[in-house]
Amino acid sequence: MTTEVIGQPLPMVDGRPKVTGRLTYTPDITLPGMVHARLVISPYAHAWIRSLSVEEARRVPGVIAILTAQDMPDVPPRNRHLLLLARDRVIFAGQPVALVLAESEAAAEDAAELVAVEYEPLPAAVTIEEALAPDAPVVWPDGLPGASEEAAAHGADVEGETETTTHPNIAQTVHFHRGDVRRGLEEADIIVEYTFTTPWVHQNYLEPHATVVQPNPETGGATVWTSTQAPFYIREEIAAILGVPESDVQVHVMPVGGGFGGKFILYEPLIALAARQVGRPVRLVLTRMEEMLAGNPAPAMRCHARLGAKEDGTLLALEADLVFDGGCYPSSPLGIAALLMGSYYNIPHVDIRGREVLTFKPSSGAYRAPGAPQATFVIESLVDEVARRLQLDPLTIRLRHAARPGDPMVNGKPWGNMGLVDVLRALENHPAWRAREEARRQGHGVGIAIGGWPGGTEPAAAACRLERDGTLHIHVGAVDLTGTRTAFVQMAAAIFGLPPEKVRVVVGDTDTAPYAGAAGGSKTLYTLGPALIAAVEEARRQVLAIAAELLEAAEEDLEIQDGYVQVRGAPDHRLSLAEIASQTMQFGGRFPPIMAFGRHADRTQSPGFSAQLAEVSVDPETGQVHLHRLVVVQDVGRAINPLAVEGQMQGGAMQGIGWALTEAMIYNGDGQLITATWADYTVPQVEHLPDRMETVIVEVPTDHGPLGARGVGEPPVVPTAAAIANALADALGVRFTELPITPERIVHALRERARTA
Amino acid sequence: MPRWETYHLATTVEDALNFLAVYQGEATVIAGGTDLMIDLETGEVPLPRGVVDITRVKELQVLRREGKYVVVGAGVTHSRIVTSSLLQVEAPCLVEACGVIGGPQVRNMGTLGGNVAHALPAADGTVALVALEAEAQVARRTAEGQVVRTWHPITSLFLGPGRSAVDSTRELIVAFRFPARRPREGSAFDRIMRPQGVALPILGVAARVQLTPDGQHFQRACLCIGPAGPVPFRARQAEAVLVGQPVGEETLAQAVTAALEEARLRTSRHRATREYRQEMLRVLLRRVIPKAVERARTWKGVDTP
Ligand SMILES: Cc1cc2nc3c(=O)[nH]c(=O)nc-3n(C[C@H](O)[C@H](O)[C@H](O)COP(=O)(O)OP(=O)(O)OC[C@H]3O[C@@H](n4cnc5c(N)ncnc54)[C@H](O)[C@@H]3O)c2cc1C
Repeated sequence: MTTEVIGQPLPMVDGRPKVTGRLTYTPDITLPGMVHARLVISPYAHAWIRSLSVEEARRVPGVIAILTAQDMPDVPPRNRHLLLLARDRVIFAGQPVALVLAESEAAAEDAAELVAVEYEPLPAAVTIEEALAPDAPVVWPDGLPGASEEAAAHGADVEGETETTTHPNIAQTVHFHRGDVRRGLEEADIIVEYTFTTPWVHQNYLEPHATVVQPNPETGGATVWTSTQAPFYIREEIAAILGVPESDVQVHVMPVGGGFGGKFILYEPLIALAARQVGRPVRLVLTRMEEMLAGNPAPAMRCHARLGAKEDGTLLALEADLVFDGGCYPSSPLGIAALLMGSYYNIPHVDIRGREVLTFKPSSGAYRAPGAPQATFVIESLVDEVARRLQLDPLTIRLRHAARPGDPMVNGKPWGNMGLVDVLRALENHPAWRAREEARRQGHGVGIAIGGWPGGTEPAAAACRLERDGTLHIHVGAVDLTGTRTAFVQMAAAIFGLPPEKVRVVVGDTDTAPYAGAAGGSKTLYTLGPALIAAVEEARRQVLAIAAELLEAAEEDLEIQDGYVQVRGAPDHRLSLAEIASQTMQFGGRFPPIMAFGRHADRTQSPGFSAQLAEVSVDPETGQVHLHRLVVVQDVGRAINPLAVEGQMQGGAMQGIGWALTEAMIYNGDGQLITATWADYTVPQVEHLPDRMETVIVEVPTDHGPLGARGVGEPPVVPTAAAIANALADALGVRFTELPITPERIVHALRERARTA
Repeated sequence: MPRWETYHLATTVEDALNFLAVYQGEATVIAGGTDLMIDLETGEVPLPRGVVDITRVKELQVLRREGKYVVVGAGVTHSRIVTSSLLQVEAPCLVEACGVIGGPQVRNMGTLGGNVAHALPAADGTVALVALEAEAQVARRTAEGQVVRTWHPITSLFLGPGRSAVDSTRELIVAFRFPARRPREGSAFDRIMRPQGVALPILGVAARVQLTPDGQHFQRACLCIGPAGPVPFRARQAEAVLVGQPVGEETLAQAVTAALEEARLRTSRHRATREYRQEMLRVLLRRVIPKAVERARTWKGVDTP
């Protein structure tokens, strides 16, 4: 293996077409005879549909069909994407009620406005409190049509106990415990206790959900282009709704303009059914407002928690009552949140009870490390507060209790190979931490937090072939969200002995590509990488076998360098890869083509941890926060491409700033989203960036990932909000328990403090 | 969204008004379109049959000193205002206000005329113009087809939130004018933005003050606050408190108290509470007035009181 290319900051292979606007995304797909679709969505959070008239809408020139629930198969809506079109009741504002199909997008939009729906509004439970009231309106009065599948897709099988539910709006429960929490709290010298809340937050990928489906009248199946992270999962679900074998559905693996967990499946089954109905390709691209109203954002959380400690800082007991608002379907990352909250630290007595409550809102989806930013905000605020009150060093107290590899998680299973302690040590040595006293003297606050993600696994395969021109083609079926293709190129080049320019990654479709799971759960490189390595090594062996014959040398004496196979020590005695490949692809040729496969299934997770430091100052008059520094330390196992890795670290932390300071989907009492545009919902902007964002890559290799690499995408968003909250506590002496920490909340808190002081 | 029938690029004020006249109230003016296009999308403004684009009308692009006035054409974009060296001297509060509107794209497209014609009580450019005691020249076509232009105090243009006295389906704002900087005069603007959102602020304040020749007292003061009621609000009581009083903490405190009393600050749910707005009014007045005073002191003309 020539390793020079591993660890190089190679620019992204699709960077150029991306920034020059030449990449073909799903909304760019046009097909002959293609029909445009627009949703008619419910303006009410909860209502009976009394009547629905399409007469007037149908008269709009260009309208082809207007579909309603009557045109849909009567499948039980086990899941949000099987709601298709509302039958007689709507359960969130934004729920599709009808689908207009027309020759142009404009005609579809005009007609959608003319579909007349008569609703009888019903009371809606919008908040957790309302949904848990004894007489609350019930989201599923006849019981849940079925459980969500997306949680499993994120590798969130966490094995907590479940409890019998007591309220029809409670969708799932989880209970983790160890030791005797009551005794632990009794023995504690101090107990910090708060109720933390975090709001619904949207992933805000730039490209909205977009889907084009071409029906296949021959098979009853379809060909699908869709902006998804999970093409094979889409194939499974579309085949199911169309009632055809999966083999009759072909899903293209498209470039995705951002997903962050929000793009697994949503309206694909509906559009597949519509395409079959009209016998023409159908295209749906959501508007930004539809994204906000009817996407699948991250759920709100409320958590009452207590942490008890000895005077010397020994953490004794953690007790938490954790509630997620899952919207209209069980969909929140309850188990994983509870597991992480109780497992970062070795605390002898833990009792965490979790509930997911259903409300009349869209169901939630995954969002970068689903559940982890919320859980981490809770535990990292508590630990910080213990340190603050006992005047202990917040880094030391964390180091003392941080879980080491093999330590038990709160579900009893051991933590895998991970670098939690290592990232803390790296932060301890960082100039920003060392200079904290100086920063404080300037009136700044310095706060730290840790957080991580267990990492997902899934079987995966890859194929590899050598072309006549000496180029190595790698075939994969995974969506590239984060630069994985570029890392694949580097790995293949290093292992095979080629310059990276001579490696091409070909992303196929579900018919042609080897299986890969959804690009999510920080597992694409982690699971596909080993398959790819196996395929490339095998292809290399095939090449060497041929070369050995042609060069009349022993295989062991051969090496591949810069596109040539040569006899070690006799570099003149060589053959180019193109020469070898051409002998495998010609009339009457002697050798079989170079074609190799790699397969991989390993259920061992390799958790990824990040430690972060925020340095802030606050304008005490206006409550405006200034972020001076944000240090993002992360254990990535092995940074195959540090440029891509740093990009992930910066992007994750930037989204963490949104969690901390700006982002919230705010619903009014009727369940109307009042922050449904980007004028009302603030994705962090340049002005919210810290003056300095510093990334520190830590490499604690894992035996299970390719070349030691572990999942990178999710960890960097996890601790940011907690780190900023802790920095604000350091600056102001006020503990913030509600995200986002807005200037108004800061001014209010300062005034309260002045009042009570 | 359905579209209009005709889009007309007017070259003169007369041309634009003639076009509007033909459509008899069913056509409207578009400048940068940064407000209008959104209002059309949301249905807040009914779809017009005709649209007349006034960005090519030369007369609306004027930006110069004319005698004792500074004249700014209604079609001047925020970007031009921000980079105008004339306005940096004459009306820093207008430069500061237009400089924070939207982002660069919005500032490149949006115009001062559109900002005023949209008639929101917290529009930043508007708040600054009120503090400058600007006037607006409105052009309309008489029944006989003649074009008449008249000057109106800017405050007379606002009827309520989003309701302008200028009927953009028949009339045109041509330009704004305000007195050139007087001796020992300075102005300033500042605002508090919502953490959620990019468009309108939680609160904006503009001040223009003139000092007495000794530089120790307020001779004139003009304060505008938005939103503090249905139209841009002039804090006349606070102004009265300032005039004649010595520059200093005591006067400032009295002015703040007066402003808090007269301003009608409201809670807008999930945006800002009344209490927070009160707090911010205090903060802004304490920032803006001293800054205007500081600028007044940098005036370098020959003092002829
Ligand atoms: C993302 C975004 C952010 C924004 N942020 C801010 C902000 O921070 N502060 C702020 O104050 N505003 C903000 N705005 C609002 C807007 O950009 C400004 O009000 C702008 O000045 C409007 O000017 P325009 O030329 O685009 O008006 P247009 O949209 O073209 O017109 C607005 C209205 O005025 C009428 N009109 C325009 N010109 C004339 C004229 N000469 N005579 C008669 N009628 C006329 C039109 O018919 C229309 O009814 C923002 C808008 C957006 C989209």
